[in-house]
Amino acid sequence: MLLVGWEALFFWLLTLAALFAAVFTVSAHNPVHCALFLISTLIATAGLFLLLRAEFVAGAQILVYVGGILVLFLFVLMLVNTRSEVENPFNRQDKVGAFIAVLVGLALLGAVTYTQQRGGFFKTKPSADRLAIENARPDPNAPAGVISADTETLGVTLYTRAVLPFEIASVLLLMAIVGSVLLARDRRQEETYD
Amino acid sequence: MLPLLVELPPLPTLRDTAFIMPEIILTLFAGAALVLDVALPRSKKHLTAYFSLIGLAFVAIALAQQVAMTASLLPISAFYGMLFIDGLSVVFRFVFIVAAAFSILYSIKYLEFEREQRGEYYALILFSTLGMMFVATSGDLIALFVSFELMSLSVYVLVGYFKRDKRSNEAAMKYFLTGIFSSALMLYGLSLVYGVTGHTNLGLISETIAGYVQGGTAESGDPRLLLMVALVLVAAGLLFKIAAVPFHMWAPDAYEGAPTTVTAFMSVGPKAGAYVLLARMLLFALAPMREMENLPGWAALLAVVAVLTMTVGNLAAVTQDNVKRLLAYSSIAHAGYILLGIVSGTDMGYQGVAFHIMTYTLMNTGVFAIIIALHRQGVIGENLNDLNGLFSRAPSAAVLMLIFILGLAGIPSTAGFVGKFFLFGSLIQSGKPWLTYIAIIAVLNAVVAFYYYARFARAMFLNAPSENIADASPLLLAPSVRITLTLSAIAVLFFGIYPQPLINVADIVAQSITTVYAQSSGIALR
Repeated sequence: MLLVGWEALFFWLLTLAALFAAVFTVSAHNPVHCALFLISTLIATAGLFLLLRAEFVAGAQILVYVGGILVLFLFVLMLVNTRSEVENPFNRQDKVGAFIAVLVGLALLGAVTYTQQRGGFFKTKPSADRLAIENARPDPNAPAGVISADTETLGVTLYTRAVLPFEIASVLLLMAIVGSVLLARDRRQEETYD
Repeated sequence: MLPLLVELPPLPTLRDTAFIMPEIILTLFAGAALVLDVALPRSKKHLTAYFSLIGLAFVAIALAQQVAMTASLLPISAFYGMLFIDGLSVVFRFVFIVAAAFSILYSIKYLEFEREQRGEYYALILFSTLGMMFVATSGDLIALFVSFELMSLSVYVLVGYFKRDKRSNEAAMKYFLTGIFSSALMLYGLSLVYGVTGHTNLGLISETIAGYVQGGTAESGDPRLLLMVALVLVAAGLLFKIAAVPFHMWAPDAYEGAPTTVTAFMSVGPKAGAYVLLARMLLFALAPMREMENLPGWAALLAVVAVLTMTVGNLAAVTQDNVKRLLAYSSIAHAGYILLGIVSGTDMGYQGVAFHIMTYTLMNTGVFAIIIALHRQGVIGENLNDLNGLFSRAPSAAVLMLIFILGLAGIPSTAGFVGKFFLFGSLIQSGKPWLTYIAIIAVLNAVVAFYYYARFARAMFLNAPSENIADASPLLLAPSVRITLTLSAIAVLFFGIYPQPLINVADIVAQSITTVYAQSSGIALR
């Protein structure tokens, strides 16, 4: 799928926004700024999901991550005094880390360029999942107001193909709750419950 | 109701659900252990441990029944290819159950002594075991990753279980940060694999990649370079998890700081889970990339890592005085040996991998059980000096320890020797000259390892008892622990002298790797 016209423009804008905001997230001195930059990254990613016509995922991204998790982050950061730890967000290994990151990035870029020159991707038979997504995609020439099948595809997949990982993830969440309570409660709370 | 816009695939049936019966039982018992903990008074909390052990027994029975019913049908795929049961999953699920049961059994006294006896501990071990069992039965990247995280997250919490102990906190933090970093690396690699192949099903990925590797022409596209990047990322994540050099730095700190019972568990259970994930990814999904035309495959990469891992692990272990750190480096070295079997790519190598992991589970938990028993009032029991004169104070414990240590060292007539023989022998058997050189390096490494394992024997049998130990209360093993240790020691000796029964079991794994994976399209989406 090649992006043309406005889609290409928005793709590059959103990608660059996401990337730069991600870099600022790790390099900003003030933790509140870090969280705000992370919000920018997530919103830009939501925009990328929209370009892929995954409206539901984009909406969920904004509702859950930006609206829920990041707002909690900000609350915690503002309640806890983090001033002592913001002097220098880098340590002695920043140069090595940057070098390795650049190396991996260049390797990826080179591999992608080479692959495109040699004939690109997806010349094999697409999988059932991919076909379902392709088929569910609305006709681009259809008039506005047509219901997208995206949400339905996701729901159906979640309860058929992905039902096993879905259930494992539910156990994972239960375990995470138990673990965080175990680590967070203090001696007095422990004695009350014992 | 609006009509559905997408076609509804057939829903999972009761037949599918029957295949995850052992896992369902384990989930129920883990949840019940949490509830039981709330219901029990403080003095009775240790009953949760026995309850968990009963749960594991039920899981083992359910698993045995599943094997009896489906042995001729293997490999089975269900849940749209998400679940994939073959010989490897059957054997390793038993290994996980044994590892979890041993860890729980050895923990009871230890936690009692530390006044940290709580049901959550046992529930977390069960949850981690559940994650491992799902890792062994997943046939899809999504299921594999989610279940692997279930396994790892439980262990992160367990490492920090002594939350008022500074070392435990530090170890948990280090383990958690490096662990999630490696998970992120692996996830990025997996996303690239999905991007290039368009599949998350391991069999379909393998099929697609085989097409790319064989006919990398302009017509079909040639994403092999991109696959290489994906492979390096996935391999880096996996090598982090098994603590292979150069991704081993977290292991000694995490092993030392964690509660000793948790160290015992994470050195066998989650470690074996990581090996299963490694086997699933490299020997199944990315199997066609073992050796490629004009490009280095993962066999070369893994060979370098294996040599580095065993050399660095063994040399670093020589200078250690803390037993837990020493065993951490020893487990790094053993990871190197196990990688050799995967590099060799022969039946014998895969048998060696399975055999070594099974016997390593017995030997390593055994060593840790004795270390745990040394931990008493006023004695941390983690220094090599704390073993001084153990033979004169507790002869039976010293003899058991000696058997396990000799097994880890790979002395002939112990099971450790047979495992090493298979692993090193497979390199020579493969007939490739460069693998023969690696076999020579491996044997030299095993000689270095004798030195630090011999230090255990010297401390226990030749050194005079240290004074501070003499004052401490005598070393007592609970009867159940003593029986389990004796049985493990007998097994280590028995399989060292007559290894055939265990080799047959290991062969089930080797067969499922070589034959089942060759016809990988058989487990495609149902």
